[in-house]
Amino acid sequence: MDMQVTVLLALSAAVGVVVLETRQMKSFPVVAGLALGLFAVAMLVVGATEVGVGGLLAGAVLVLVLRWGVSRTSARDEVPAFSGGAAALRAAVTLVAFIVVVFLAASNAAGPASVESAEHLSGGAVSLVREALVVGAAAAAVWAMLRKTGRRDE
Amino acid sequence: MNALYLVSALLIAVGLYGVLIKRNLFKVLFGIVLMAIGVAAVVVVSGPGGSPADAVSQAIGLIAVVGGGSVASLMVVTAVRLHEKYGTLDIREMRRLKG
Repeated sequence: MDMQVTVLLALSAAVGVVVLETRQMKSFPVVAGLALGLFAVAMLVVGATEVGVGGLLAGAVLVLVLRWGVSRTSARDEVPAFSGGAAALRAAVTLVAFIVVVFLAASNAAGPASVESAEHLSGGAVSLVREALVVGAAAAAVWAMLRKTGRRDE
Repeated sequence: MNALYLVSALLIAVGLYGVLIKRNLFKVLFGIVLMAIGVAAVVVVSGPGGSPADAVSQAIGLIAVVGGGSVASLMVVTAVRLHEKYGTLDIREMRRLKG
């Protein structure tokens, strides 16, 4: 099961790179939702039902809001890419160093990673309801912001 | 299996790449979401093992995912409002237009 989860998380990271590099903003929300969906499936495979369902809920809300946002702004990402040069080299070194530090810190602090026996640790339906309420509250906040700014426009 | 830590760190690093390098506001906030799910993955895969903190790790992972997604949703609305004000999603251009 470790290998399946590793592959799913790696795919999620790869799709994340695709999302960040895409120029067509029309497809941006769908591909972003795919990245979150792969992560949610990985968590469901682990047996972490709460995190998986929470990821699906948050992903669904985020895709809808992103679709709305893209439709209100630009269909193409015209913002120029990173300029490159010494700054790009510094950024690349920083990212690699960051991965190494996180890997070493997590390995030493928490011991070997494992996805075995996670299922019995789930909190159950109450946790899912709690998180659905959090997502609902966020959606209500989005609606309230839109309504208020809409009135201001009038 | 330490490869799980590696791919989780990779998720966080991809998100960090988006936050550091990208100038489009939507992509910056998606980077934040990727970092949130990467942190959740680290917490979940390091949790199971029999200690009392393990159940807490799943709750922390859940909060990271749902909180990250909710904050990002609010940020999308803010980004749209900024686009209406400045006419661009480029964060450097916004900074230039501010003064």
